[in-house]
Formats: sequence, C-alpha cells, structure tokens
Amino acid sequence: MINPYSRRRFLEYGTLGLGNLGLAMLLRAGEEIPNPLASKTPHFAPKAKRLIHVFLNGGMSHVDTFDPKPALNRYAGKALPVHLRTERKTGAAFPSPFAFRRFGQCGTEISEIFPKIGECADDLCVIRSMHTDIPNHEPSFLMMNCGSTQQVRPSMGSWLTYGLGSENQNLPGFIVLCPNGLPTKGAVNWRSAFLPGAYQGTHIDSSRKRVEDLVENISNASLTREDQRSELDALRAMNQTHAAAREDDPALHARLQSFELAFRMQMEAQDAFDISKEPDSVRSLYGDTLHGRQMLIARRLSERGVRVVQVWHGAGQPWDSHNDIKGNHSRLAHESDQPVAALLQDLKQRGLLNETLVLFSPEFGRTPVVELADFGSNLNGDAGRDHNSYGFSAWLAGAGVKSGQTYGATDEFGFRAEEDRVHVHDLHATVLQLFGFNHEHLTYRYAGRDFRLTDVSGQVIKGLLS
Amino acid sequence: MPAGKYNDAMYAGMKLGSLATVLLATASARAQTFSIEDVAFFEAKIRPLLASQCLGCHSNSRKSPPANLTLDSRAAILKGGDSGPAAIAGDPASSRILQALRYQGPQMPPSGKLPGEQIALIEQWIAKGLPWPAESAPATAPADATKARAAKRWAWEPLHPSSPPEVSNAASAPTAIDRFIQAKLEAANLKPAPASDRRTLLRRLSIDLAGLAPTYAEVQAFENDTRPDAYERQVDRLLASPTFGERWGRHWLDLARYADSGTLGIRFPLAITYRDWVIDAFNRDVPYDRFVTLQLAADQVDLHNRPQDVAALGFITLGNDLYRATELPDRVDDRIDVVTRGLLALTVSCARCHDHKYDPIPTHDYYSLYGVFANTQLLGFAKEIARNGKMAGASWYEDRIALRAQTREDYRNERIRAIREDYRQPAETEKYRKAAEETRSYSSAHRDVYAREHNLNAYMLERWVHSIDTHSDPTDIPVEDFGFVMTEGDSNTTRALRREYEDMVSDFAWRGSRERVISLADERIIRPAHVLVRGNFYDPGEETPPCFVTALSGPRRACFTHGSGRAELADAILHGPVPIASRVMVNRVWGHLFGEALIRSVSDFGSRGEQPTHPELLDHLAAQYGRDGWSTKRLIRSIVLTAAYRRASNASPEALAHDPENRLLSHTHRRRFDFESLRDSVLLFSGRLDTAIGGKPISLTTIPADPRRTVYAYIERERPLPLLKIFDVADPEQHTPARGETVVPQQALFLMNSPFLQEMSSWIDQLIGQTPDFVGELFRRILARNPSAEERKVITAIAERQSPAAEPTPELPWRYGAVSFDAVAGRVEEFRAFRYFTGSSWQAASMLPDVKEGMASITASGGSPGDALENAVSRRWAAPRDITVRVTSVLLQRRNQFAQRFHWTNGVRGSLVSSRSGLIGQWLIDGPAKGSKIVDLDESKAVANVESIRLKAGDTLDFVVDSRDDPELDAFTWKIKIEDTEGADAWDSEQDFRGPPVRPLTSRARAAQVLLMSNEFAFVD
Repeated sequence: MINPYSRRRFLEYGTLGLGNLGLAMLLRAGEEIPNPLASKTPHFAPKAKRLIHVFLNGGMSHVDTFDPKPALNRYAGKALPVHLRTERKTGAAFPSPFAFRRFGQCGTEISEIFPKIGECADDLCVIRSMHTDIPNHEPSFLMMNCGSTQQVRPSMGSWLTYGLGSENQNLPGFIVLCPNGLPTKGAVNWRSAFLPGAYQGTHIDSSRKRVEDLVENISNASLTREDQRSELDALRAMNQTHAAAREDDPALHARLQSFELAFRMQMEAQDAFDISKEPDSVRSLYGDTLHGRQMLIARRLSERGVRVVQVWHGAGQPWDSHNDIKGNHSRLAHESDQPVAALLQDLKQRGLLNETLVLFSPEFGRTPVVELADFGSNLNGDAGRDHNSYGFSAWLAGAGVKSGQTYGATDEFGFRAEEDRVHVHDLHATVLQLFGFNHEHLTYRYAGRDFRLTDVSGQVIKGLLS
Repeated sequence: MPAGKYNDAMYAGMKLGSLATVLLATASARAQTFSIEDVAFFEAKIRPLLASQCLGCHSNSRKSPPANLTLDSRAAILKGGDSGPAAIAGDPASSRILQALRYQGPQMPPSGKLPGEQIALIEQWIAKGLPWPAESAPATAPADATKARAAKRWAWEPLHPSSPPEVSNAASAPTAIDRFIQAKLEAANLKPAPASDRRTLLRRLSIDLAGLAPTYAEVQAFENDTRPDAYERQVDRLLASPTFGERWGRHWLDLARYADSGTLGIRFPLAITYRDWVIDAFNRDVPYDRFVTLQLAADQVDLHNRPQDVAALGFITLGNDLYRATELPDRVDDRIDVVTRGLLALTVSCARCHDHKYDPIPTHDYYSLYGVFANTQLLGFAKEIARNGKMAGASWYEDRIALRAQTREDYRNERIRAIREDYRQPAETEKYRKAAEETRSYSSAHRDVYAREHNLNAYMLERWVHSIDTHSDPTDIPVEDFGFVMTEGDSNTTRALRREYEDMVSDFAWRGSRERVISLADERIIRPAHVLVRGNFYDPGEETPPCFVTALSGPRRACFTHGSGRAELADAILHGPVPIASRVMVNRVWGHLFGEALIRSVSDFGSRGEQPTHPELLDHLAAQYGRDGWSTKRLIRSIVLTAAYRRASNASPEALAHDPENRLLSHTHRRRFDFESLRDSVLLFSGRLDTAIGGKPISLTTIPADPRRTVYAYIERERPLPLLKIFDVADPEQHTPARGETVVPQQALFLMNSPFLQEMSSWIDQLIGQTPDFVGELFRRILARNPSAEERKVITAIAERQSPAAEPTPELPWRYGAVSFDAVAGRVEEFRAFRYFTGSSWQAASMLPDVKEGMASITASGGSPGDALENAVSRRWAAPRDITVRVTSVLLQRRNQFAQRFHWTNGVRGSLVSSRSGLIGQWLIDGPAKGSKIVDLDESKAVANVESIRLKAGDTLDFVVDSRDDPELDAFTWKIKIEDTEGADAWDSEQDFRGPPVRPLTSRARAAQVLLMSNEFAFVD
C-alpha cells in the first residue's frame, strides 16, 4: 500500500493554483507515481501547445527592422525635438541605412535585412509598441524571461512547464539552445527560482556538433549500451526488493523509475538532436549554418513534444550594436533570417504552426539617435545606437495569433511606444492566455504569497488574438 | 513647503539618483476610463502631492485617520469621512478638499498652506474628474485583512511556560522531549514505531551530524559495543568531529543565500572567509546569539581578540550586489529578506509596497528596517586583519593590491574633476538653470520624470533646484556622489578596475593568505529613511526612524540610535520579549534532524505559514536553548538522544490511516541524501575524500574530480551549475528555507554517465583489489552490510560479466604542465604534469590560482604562465620516432582597452626548448606601450617559426611561456603546428588538445556503480 503522505508531497509541487487538478492528472498511464513533468490541462481550452521563443539577445534595433521611421530622414544629423534620457550619451537623429518595403497581402513594412522573414509577413503579428522598464541588458533579459527586472522569479518557460508539464517524458520539458556559451545573465534567464528544480530550463550549447557534447551526461564512453542495460537491470532488481520492504514508498519508486526514464532519454536525445536524419531539402531550407542547424534542432525538439524551446542568437548579447549598425545588424539579420523563415514554413508544412506559438523578440530596442564615443563603453562612437526601453518591436506567429497585421505604434521617430502600448507583462499575459491560462490564476505559493509570472501586472491584449 | 521636511524628502530623492520610473508607463498601461494624458498628469503631479502632503495622516495604514478620512484611493476620496465626500468629480468649487487647502474652514495641511501652484493643480485635477489609474482589487477584502492583523500568532507571544506532560507509557518517553511527543501519540491512540537497528541508526546519525555515511568498520564498532552508553559515544564522537561544522555550516549557507560570485559573475573576493567562518563557528559551538550578533554587527561589537570574526559580516555582504547607486532599494530589500525570513520567520519583504495583506506588518515596519541597511555600506570591502609576510609571494601581492587600489582612487578623482568641468560649460549651466526654474515646485518624483523626458541627469537637476534657495554651487559635486554623475563608460571602467583589484585580493586569499576578510561599515552620514509609497522610491512618504518589527516588539517598540542601528537590531532580534530567534532556530534544527520541522513553514511563522504540531515542545526547546547558553550542539544532542529520533521509519497501518503526514512522529521520515551527502559519501567510500577543512573553493566538474567536500564548491549565483539545480541544492539567489526533494531523470543520468561516477567506481574496484570475496567487500564498503544470497547472485553477474575489449584510444604526444625554467641556460629543470582537466584547460588545481603554481594553465589555443620562472608553463611535444620537424607558430597576447590604459600586463616570454639541443628560440611579447593610442583590442605578437629541428624518438620540445616576473593578466595564445619535414605527419596544438583518455570501466567497477546508484545508498531509513 503506498504511503499517501509521500504521495501528498509530490502533489505539493503541482496542485496549488491549478484548480481542478486531481491526482490522476499527475500519473502516467499504468503507474502510480506522480511525475512533476506529467502532461496537465490548463484552465481553459488552449490554442497553443508548445512555445518556440526566438530571442534576439542584445537588443534588435526596431527602426532598422520592423518599424520604419521616415521622419528620421528629415532630422538626419540634427537634434530630435524629443530626446528621452538614454543610458549612454546619444546625439543626433540617425536614419536607418536600410530600405523598407511592403510584404505579403497585409503589406507590412519590413526592412531589407529580413527578406525571408518578410515573405512570411502574412503569418506574423508584428507588435510595434512594445516597451519595458530599464535600458540595460540584465534587467531587461530578466523582464522578458522572468517578468521582473530585479527580483528572483521563475522564467516563463518554467511557469509553462509547471502549468502544463511536457508532452514527451523522455526529454526535458524546457530546453534552451544557445551556441558558444551562455548569454548575459546566464542560467538566471531560464531559472526555476522557487519552483521545483524539475522546471529549470536545460541549456544546450548548440555549437557542439556531437550529440554527446550537447546534453550533459547523455552518453557514456566508458561502457557499452548493453553493459549499461545490465547494470540498470541489476539496479532495478535491488531497488524493487528494497522498496518492497518499505511499504513501496513512492519516493523510492519514483527514483527507481527515473533511471528508466534516463535510459530512454539517452536514446531520445540522440535522435532528437541528430539533424542528419532530416532530408536534404529540409536541411537546405534552414541552411547549413550554425543558426540554421540550431533552428532545425528547435523544430525537432518542439515536434517531439518539448513544451518550451528557447533559441538564443549567441553567447553574451550579440545584437547589441552600439557601433556600426549597418555592418553588424546586416550580419546578424542574415544569420537569423533564413532559419527563422524556414522554421515558420516548416511548421506550417507539417501542420504544426496552428498549435505552436512562435515568439520573436529582443529584450529591448535601440535609439533612433546615434550613440557617442566614451572611454569604457564606446571608444569610437561609430554609427551605432544605444539601448531603448521606451519602445521596440517583437512579433508573434502561430496558434491563436491574429496574423497578417501590425499592432500598435511608436512615436514618429521610433523613440517611445505611443499607441496601443504593450508592456512585457502584457505580452506574458497574452502568451499565457494562448496556452489556456488566466495569467492571474497560474500561481505558486512561496514565502506566504501566491506568485505568478505577471506578478501584479499584465493585461491580455485582445488585439493580438485571432 | 516646510523646508526641513522637504529637504529630507528631496535628499532621499537625490540620493536615489536617476532610475527610470514607470509612472508614465504604468499609468497608460492601466488607464481605463481616463485618457493617458490625464492619468499621466495624476501620476506626475497629483499623486506625489497626496503622498507627501496628505497620506501621512489620511491613509488607511493609520489606525484612526483624522475625521475618518482616507485619501489612498479615488473611491475613498469620493466617499469621504466624517464631513462627507472630500471631492465632487468635475466640481472643484464644491469640493471640501480644495476648501481645506485654501484654508477656508479646516486648514490643510496643518503645518502650512501649500503654494498656489500646487493648490491650482489639485483644482485642475478635480475639474478633470479626479483621474486615477484603475487598480486591481486587493487579495483579501479589507475586513478579512483587519481580522488577520488582529489575530495573534502563537509564535509571537512570549515564552509559554509548560512542563513536559504525563504519559501512560513511560518506557516510550525516556526524555522530557519524548513526553511531549508521546502524550500526543497517546491522545491519538497511536503506538510509536520500534527502535531502528543500529546500522540504520548510525547511518541516520552520521548523515545528520556529519553529512557522511558511516563505514562498515564504524557500523561494526557500534553494533558490537555493549556499553550502556554506546549510542551516546557515537553522538559525542560525531559532534566533536570537524565534519559537523561542514554539515551544519552548509545548512546555514542555504539560509544565507551563500555564493562565491554575484552579478555578472564577478567574484566576491573573500566569500570563502565567510564560509569558513560559518563552518568554524559551528565546530566551536559559538552560542547562537553571538553567532547572529557577529553576522549582523561584527564591525561594531567587541571581538574578544578574534579579529577574524569580522568575516561573519558575509551574511550581509554576500547578497544582492547590483552596483549602481540607484539600485540601493534592491540591495536593501535582499538584506531585509534574509534577516526577517532567516532569523525571524517573517515575510517582511511583502510590505515593501503595501501593508502585509495577511500579517500585522505595515509597510512602515519594512521601512523602519530599511534605514538600518540603507545606512550600511552593503557592498563589502576587504579588511586587513593581519600581515603574514612569511607566505611566498606575499610582498608581490601586497604591492600589486595597493597599486590597483590606488588606480581606482586616481581614476575616480580624475573623472570627477572632468565631470565638474563638463557641467560648468555655459550650455550646460543654462540648460540646467532653466530646467531648475521650471521644476522648482515639483516633487522629486516628478522632477525625475522631467529629467528623463529632457535628457537631463536627475541628480544634477536636484542640485540645481537645491541651489536656488541655498545659493550653493551645484557643480561642486562631492566625490562620494561620483556614482550619480558618471557616464556608462565610467561605470564600465570603475567596474573593471574594481574587478582587477578584487581578483588580486581573492587570488591572494585563495593561495592561503589570511590577511584579509570581508567587512562592511556604516555610511559616514546617517540619513533618515522614509516609507516609499507603493515601493516607488521617488515617492517618499513619512519618515521612518529605525525600529524593530511591531509584531515582535511587545508593548514597547525597540528603536535604534547608534549609527545604522545594526547592533541594536541584533539585540532586539535575540533578546526581545518574544523569543522568536530561538524558536526559529530550534525549529530549523528539529527539521534537519527529523526531516520535517515542528512548524513546517520554517521561514514563515505568520498566518500563511503552518501551525506548530507541538507548540509546547517548541517552547520547551526554545527555553532550553536559552538556558544552555544557546549551544546548538547541546540542542542537537538532546534531540538525537530521544527515543523519537531513534525510531524506525516504517509507518504502521494505523499511523498511515490516521496520521498520514506523520505530524505526530510515530516514526521517523525516510529521507533522501542531499547532494552534498551523496557526493561526499561516494568520495569517502572510494578512498578519495580529502578532509582538509576550509580554504579555496573547488570545481565540481573537473576530471579527475577534486576530492574535497562539496561544501567547498564554487557557487555562482548567476551561472549555477546545472548539476546543483538538478539535485535541489539551494538556489543562491535568495534565502532558501528548505530544499525540495525532486526526482528527475537528469539525476539518474549523472549517476549513470558522469565522469565522476566512472572515476569513483574505478577507484573502488582498485581499492578492493584482488580478493576472493569481491562482492562481499563491495557491499560492506558501500552499504555497510553483507549481501543476501540473492543480491550476491545479481551483483556477481555484473562483476563477472564479459564485455568485448574496448578499442584503445590513440595516445597523442602532447603533455601539459608547469616547469621550472632556467631562461638563461635555456633548460627546463622539472616538468610537473597538470593534474586537472576542466573541459577547456589543464591546470594544477580544480580552480585557479593553485597555491603553488599560481595561474599556470594550458588551453587549446594557449594558456597562462605561473608567477615567474619557477612555474612557467609548458606544452610539451614528444617525438614518436626519430624525426626532423618544422615548427610554425604564432605567440600573441590581446589586451582590452582597460588593460591598455591601466597597464595591467607586462607581457610574456615564449621559449622553445629541445631536450636534445637546448634553447632553440625565444620571443618576447611586450605589454601595451605607454602613450600609444588605445584601441578596442590591442594585439602584440611574435612569429615563432623554426625550419628544421632534428630529434630522436622520445626527445621533447617544450613550448615554454613565463611571466617575465609579473603574472598579472598574462593569458596568451600560442597556436603551434609541427610537421614532419620528410613526410605527411603533422600535429596541431589546438586540434590535438583534449582531456585525459576515457578508459572503459571494468566489470567490477560497474558492479560498484550499481551499488552507488542504488536507493539503499541514497536514502536514510
């Protein structure tokens, strides 16, 4: 007879705030042991089942990509009539060196550096009125990922896996792809904070080519698969005898099973990360580049039921073009354009786009005025832009999104979001809505209070929903 | 406006600098019936007025607001108080609030009439219809909140005297503590479980007191000990062992959110002095009240000739270290949280923006503590407590540390002078003078918004406004305020300079210096704190002198008058009328020994926490703790000597039915090893455990494993090792009351596949060696018992399983190590192969600097030399046969703008030495040239090519790099190609670089691994 007290301890992790969740929800078929990542149902019928968040870390400039500002040409080289305080010293108006043109039936204007994404304009809901609080990477990464600039809060991916579990128990439920190291603020960006560690994001350095190097401890060069299996069989026998003498304590059984899950995870991860299994046509759709391969892995993971996949551009903050906007943003956009467009097309072809939510965002935007030189921050002051938290662009595509439109607007210079403003909290509330949650009711009790991703803020933006 | 009060509020605003507010943004995001502009007008011009002029009295945070009138919300204003509605929307003439402000009838504010412009603003606001942003409903209805506040919590009352109750079955309750437990069991008609067998008991005791599973010999000794006090002897043995401090120190580090590095991964240079102090304090059984007092105020109390006790202040300094001047409120919040949840089990942080919704903790209480920490310099500094000039290299470090400290001073002084000049330019003075005139009557909050909108420095604007009345010189910026006027470039530079200084201090400490510890101090000038309305620090409300938490204060609230008040705060926490500190600690100790505490919400004794299962017992223990001089060891001893602690963990059917959560403790809880106990026990049984106490941190991910205890792992707050997260180790970002116990497949993957487990399994195989009873030895070593027949069969099958021989991995001819180098003779005297591989570097210790070899290391593309010629580094290539080779290589160093400007490196020297013919070549890399233009990345390189070198099999080529007697920042790149001049063979230093070869596990090692993975090993029954 299973000790119901131990069973309750597992429930502690999941039930608070999920209303009508019952024990049955936490159990996999045929087993009696609750699993923190077991698939769960949300408050109401969801539109989206999985999230892919493409994160342009460093701050993609909106006036050079998704938010054309011809007014800047009139003021080129001159002071703007409106000049909000910026983190670094900034100077005169700096028009975009790139041309914009209309794409798709909707005619959304997108810059020439994202031509392939432009072709997908009819699938996109481009939000031009995003805004956040602090023009600094670390707090803004935390705001975009965790809903708070300073305080220790779980990430959006952790909240989603806490609320929904995962569809594939043989892979981690929340996977983060970042090539060549960690982004600024590291693992804090995908932290579970006070949520159980099971909901922490799993970081994969996607620049590694060999699968063994991708997921920690996923393979073992010291013994064969058969020898490993023999060990696990012996382990199972010992553990079962041990548990039987201890009222079949669920904690013992859960640990016993975790070895079986791990064994399966080895094989599933080998498969999921192995893009050589894709046909050539698909691989060339994404392109044989670091970012192309990374995005293809993201699609494979998502398709295999990984609830949240977050794809970063690179270590540190690569989009942070304080200098040479033209050169740097051209290069960066070129790296992402084909892979992201391929992702959308590929999901669509597979019939997955209508149940996958794709979010494409930086943590903030960039100033329409040029950044000036200053030892310690910018030696040369060479045609770049500083950070801009007052206004920036992001887009949504996929499940439940009202596509083929732009939403909101910045002022005529692109300095500040003015019309139909969308704060990051509002974006979070809307994302949770698409996953079937009332953002005010997906909570977790900690330190005597019910916490949530949107904390005390956030409004669902109906204009983004279909 | 009354000058004194405004000055303080203004100063608070000034001191708080240029953080962007969300006023405008929040308003427009939430506006529903009012236009964005109107709500922005309210937020910018009206709310600050209400907050500073009215809410001091007319707020619902007051017990009895005058005339029962509160002005906290639009509804409250329209409803009004005793005299009826305070305002009529759209009708200023009829609004009482306006009449009162005009001193027509009641005179508000009583201290003096507001300036005309401000009254006009209120009139304008009422005419607009009192725009106010929509607010979400409070979590509880006001009536419930009041009730909650009024309800007394048992935990906040003075000690409840009681004596242990009578019980029927005295045999089950040999100690006083047992009687409390037995009485409840009898009342519930439950029988206690029988006692655990000795093996189980010793396992439990050893893990609880030492964090290490017992050896077979220890178990045998206990099982065979027939003395009546056999168990007491085990308890005393474990309490006296230094492993006790490592175990219980780690529990405390969870509460203290201990980390070795903070924001941006920047190292806390002397974090280890705090960690070691905590471990040592538990070993010396420092009385808990002294333990806490030192951690709050060691800089202010008598240290009784133990200057090293200042390190205790790490409790305060190792917190949130956001470094900008404007991030003070978040640094303060972290300290309030760690102190209140950690020591008082009170969630005071909830009151940062509003009164606590459930407990009687008004926001006023939060800000009473705010001043204590705001008046403390929270970012720690290195305090010298000794000089140990005898340590090798000490004078080099002393000189360099002093130089780096001076560089910081000089930069700051130079820049503040330049910045003052910048602000004296006519264009600037004109701009600020005009802005000051315009915003003269604004509140600080509004002025900050204005500054943001007009690209002005908010601090300078405040100074200009201040100068209008005082005729002071606004451009005479004090050097302490550099943080408010520095540019982003200055911020990066000062951070780089600080980091360089701190790295020197840290390296010196890690190499063994005990000269410095972390310290902190009060601010030079103590400033009053204020309530920050809704947590917005541009919205200062009434002044809050530093005082203790109301709910714990008894009839007279302790207020603090000496400096920041930290010493008095410690006294209030420990010696106030409510024995909260002892209740909280006693409860935590109980929780660590039983798996669940008496109040299960260990850091929340408030109304949202749990009720105590045995309140009288808790107070009995708290009283005993105080009588025993706050000795934690005595407390633990009294608990582990109970019958309750020694019970088996099998629950009876009755217990499962009637007390499924085992609140009544009819049996003990089965518990899984925490990560530290798991790893340490594996090290112990593999014969590898290094028991050295204290000292520099280790990495957990090297091959081979660093065998010191896990408590010494380097903890990164921002880049926590996934391994630690996976195993539920406390998150170092904030105070962790209790660790979770999750089960995820990644834990199993670690046990199945990690290099650590492979290595330890192999060690066990070797340690047991050739013996007829391998499997028996295995069980005795790892599980401290003999195997059953069935187990013997299963494990023997593994141990004797044949596997196909693995393919041998080809050996590469490269070796990496430190060398003693005679640069003149061109001779390598001694080659000391690096022991540890980190994944990217070969080095002498798992974390650098190594005590002996300093920063010496080799990476794929280069490395770093050690201190000088006695520990240069070498990448050594051995000729596989008689061969003539050609060497093509480039030695280079890259320096960032800071290294260039501040001359941090003097360059390195590369030498190529053949064991056959001696010195073949030598190349110098110089440091950045003084006076040359600073570029983003300065590169200095030397092409090191040698056309033809004749070697015989076994001869070596050493590519040696030394520091030129100054190892600071000497990282270099040296990519080398070696080609056979007569064939196709070639070796590439970068491509060939790898860690130690992976060896297959023997079948016996695999058998060991099975036992190490087992539940029996990982659980305490």
